[in-house]
Amino acid sequence: MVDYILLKNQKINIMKLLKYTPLILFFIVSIFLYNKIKFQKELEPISSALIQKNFPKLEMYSFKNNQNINEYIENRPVVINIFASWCAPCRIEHEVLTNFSKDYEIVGIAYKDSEENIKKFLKELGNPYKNIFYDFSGKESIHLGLYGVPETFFVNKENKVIYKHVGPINNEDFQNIAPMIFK
Amino acid sequence: MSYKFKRLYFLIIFGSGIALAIFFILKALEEKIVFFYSPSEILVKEIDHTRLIRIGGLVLDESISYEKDGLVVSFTVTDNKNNVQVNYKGILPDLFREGQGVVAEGKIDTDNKIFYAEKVLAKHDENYMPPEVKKIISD
Amino acid sequence: MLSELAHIFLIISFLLFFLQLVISVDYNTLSFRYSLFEPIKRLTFFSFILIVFSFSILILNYVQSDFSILNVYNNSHTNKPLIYKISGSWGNHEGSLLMWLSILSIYGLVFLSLIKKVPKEFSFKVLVTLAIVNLGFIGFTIFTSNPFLRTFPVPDEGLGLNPVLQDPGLAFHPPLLYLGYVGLTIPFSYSIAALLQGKVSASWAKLVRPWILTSWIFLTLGITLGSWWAYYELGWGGWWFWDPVENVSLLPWLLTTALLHSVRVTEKRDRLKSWTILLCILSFSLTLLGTFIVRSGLLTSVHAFASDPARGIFILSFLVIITAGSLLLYAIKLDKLEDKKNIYLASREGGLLLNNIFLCASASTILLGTLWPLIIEAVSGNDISVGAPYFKIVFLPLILPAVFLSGISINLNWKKTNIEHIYEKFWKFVVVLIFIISIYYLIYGGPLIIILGVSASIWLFISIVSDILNKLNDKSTYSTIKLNKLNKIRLSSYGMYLAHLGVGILILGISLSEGMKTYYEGVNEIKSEIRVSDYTIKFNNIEKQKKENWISETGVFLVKSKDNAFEMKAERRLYLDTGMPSTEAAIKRNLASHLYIVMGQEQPTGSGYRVIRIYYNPNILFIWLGAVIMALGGLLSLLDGRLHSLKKSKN
Repeated sequence: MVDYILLKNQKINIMKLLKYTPLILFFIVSIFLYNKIKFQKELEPISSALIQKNFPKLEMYSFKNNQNINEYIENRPVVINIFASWCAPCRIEHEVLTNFSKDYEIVGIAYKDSEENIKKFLKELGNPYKNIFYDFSGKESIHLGLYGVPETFFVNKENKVIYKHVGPINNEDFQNIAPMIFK
Repeated sequence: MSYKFKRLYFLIIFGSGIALAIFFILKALEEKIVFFYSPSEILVKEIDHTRLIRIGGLVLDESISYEKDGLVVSFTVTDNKNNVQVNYKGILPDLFREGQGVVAEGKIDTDNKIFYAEKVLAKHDENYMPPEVKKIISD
Repeated sequence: MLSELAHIFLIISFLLFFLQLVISVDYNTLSFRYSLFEPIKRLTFFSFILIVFSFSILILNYVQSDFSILNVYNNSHTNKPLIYKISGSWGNHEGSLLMWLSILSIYGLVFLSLIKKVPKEFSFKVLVTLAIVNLGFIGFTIFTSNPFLRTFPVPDEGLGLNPVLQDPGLAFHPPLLYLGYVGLTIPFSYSIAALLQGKVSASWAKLVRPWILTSWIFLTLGITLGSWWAYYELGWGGWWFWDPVENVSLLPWLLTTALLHSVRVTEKRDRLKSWTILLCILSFSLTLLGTFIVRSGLLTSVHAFASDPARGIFILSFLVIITAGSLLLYAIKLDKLEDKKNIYLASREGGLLLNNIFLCASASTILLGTLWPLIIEAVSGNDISVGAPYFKIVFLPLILPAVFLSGISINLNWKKTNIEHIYEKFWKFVVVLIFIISIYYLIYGGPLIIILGVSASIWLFISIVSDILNKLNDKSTYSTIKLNKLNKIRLSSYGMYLAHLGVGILILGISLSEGMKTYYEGVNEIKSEIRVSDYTIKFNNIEKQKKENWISETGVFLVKSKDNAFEMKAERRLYLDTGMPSTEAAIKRNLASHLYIVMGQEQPTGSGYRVIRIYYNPNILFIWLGAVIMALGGLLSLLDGRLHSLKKSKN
């Protein structure tokens, strides 16, 4: 090969390799891009730091009788859904929650919202929640590692978080995950 | 000058120009990049105290305090595992709040205790979490 | 019902493009079926019309505030002014993609209307390339980002639009930028067709140049408007932040600028052919890369909004297929294009070649800096960011020589210029330049880079004037200038002068404003006084008001300068529906200079102390003015081409 290059017209052979440089450079760039996006994808279904840990102590109180959320969920397997009347995906999710509200105890946390708007929201779409707690400032939900609404926590009788679902949940996922809270 | 000699001359100038350019670009890249650390990494990694770095995490609740004239502010950045105190002289972005994600640029003191921020970075959207911050608090 | 129809239109057009691809190749002989040219032309026409209809329906949905459509519900509100209802349709990911598609369709329709001027076999290949690009983008829209999804039950009211986006500047920034981005699809398709033909000629360059010019004009305007918007809306006092999202819009611009010059060489001198083709491919790929980076949220950016990795994968695959495919084709066919003829450096094409090298080198440094965080993260696992200091230190030394060179190139002749002649001409310039610069330096002083910037722009002005005078020179007497020769200069030359004049003004604006700006930042109580430059600014009072959907706090500032006194109002809004604050800077213009006041939040809360930032930006208006003049110059050149061909067809 070396002899070949030396013997034949040197310039032309280098030029032949040069032709492919844009292609090669582009491949290198795209490998890095792919690497990054793969990594980001892994990040997306966020492995919550809370899973298999106790549901954190929160300063959240219910609309009805100002009861603390930790007191309320003690000894109950519950599904805790963080929602807001201003959030569009919550509307889509609402139907799913309604479907399962008979079989499971679903508890709502109203995130960055107002009582008035929530009432309107539930009047329009129906109320699947046994109890609603409020986090109007959005500060308490930080302890839950909240990324955005909606988010759903599946919590068992010992108040351990079994699973955390980010984004609107569908019927199938709910069906698969929810029974675990009774185990 | 003969044709070949001219060509060689040109190639040498051109080649050394490119080499020089690449050298300066890589040097600039080495000098001007800013590393990003989480509060936990600050404690374990060796950090050049003379360099600008960025740290990120959540602003710890009830950690914001102002000194005398209101321009000097200190707060604590947390990744839910470790904390770093940040001192900052300047104006906080509109969306700077307790419990929100934040990225600060500055230098860390020699004990790795206090971070002297020169900039606290702003963002447009309150639902937007800087990817680095998202990464460290989900770890 | 209409929106289902629009969705179906999209699907049909997807299928039609697919059908077009399938039937355009004869699989037995592996060649194109040119015999099907007429039906394929009609098929493409029909698909383009369907896409434009589809986008019109989305706009109609927005105008009617049809909240049964999720996209409208998420991004609109009944009490928004009509203009923002319309702009809401492209102010979000799904809608902006559909706009992208319909702009591509409009370009496609223009191409179809001009198709008679283009050889049949060539336009057949252009149509095939357009079909592939269309398939990718329509697929992306219908599979990952359908704008016509319904929501049930139908909400009474929409969620509104991010208040930052509710602004005339941002309403028209995306359409302009997209007109530029998407316009590059046509030169790309022309290059692929030329590669498939295995032939690039001067007439090819003549055909493709108006398309490049059109894209370049829109890109220039789009980036300018974006920068202007960031300046007055973000309240940071600056106009360019070297943010990844900004960088990826600058990259295609730099390459298109280079392309504009190299295609001129191809047209006039039949050289730099493979280089021109490569630039066409790369500039188009960079628009895809830009889309990819913005849409996938890969890089940390102040402009980042919610993103979706699934979309990123789709665009990345598309980017790889298109770019790798065309670069491979380029490598295979390159030998056929090889132009062996030499280029003399002391000629206009030589100057343009050097200019191209510097433009592309500066683009590469920006690309490298933008992607560097990804590379470092992959290699060492460290998170890093590359900010303005890097870009300033590498970009400026590479772009300034390009500016000086363009001044020289304007004065050179095609083919070969006598070097002695150049020396003779340029020593006068250099003397004039040094004279002006030394006067400037004695009066204002300032850092080297500012002086260089000012010199570069003056250099450009002198070069333009010199070339015009040269053209007016009566060749027989060599001394008198004949003004009646002014109308002999072609419109495209005037366009060229104007565009370079714009560059000069832009650089002058940057240098003077960066070199002379002053800045104040502090926490102030009411009635306190601040001095910035020659102004005394008194923070007088705060007016609080409740508006429709925001609480407004307006800081009233009484400003006194040597010769006049006026009032400025900087507003701070807290939007009630989203709880998001936004600042509205107060900007007072004095000739080309700006006094710019931003009032921030109370710091600490309840203290009555307010964060105040004041910028005095002298001559900053020249930045955007220069950019607009550049675009106007481009327009003149474009018009010349049209007029010229009209004249020809009349004869």
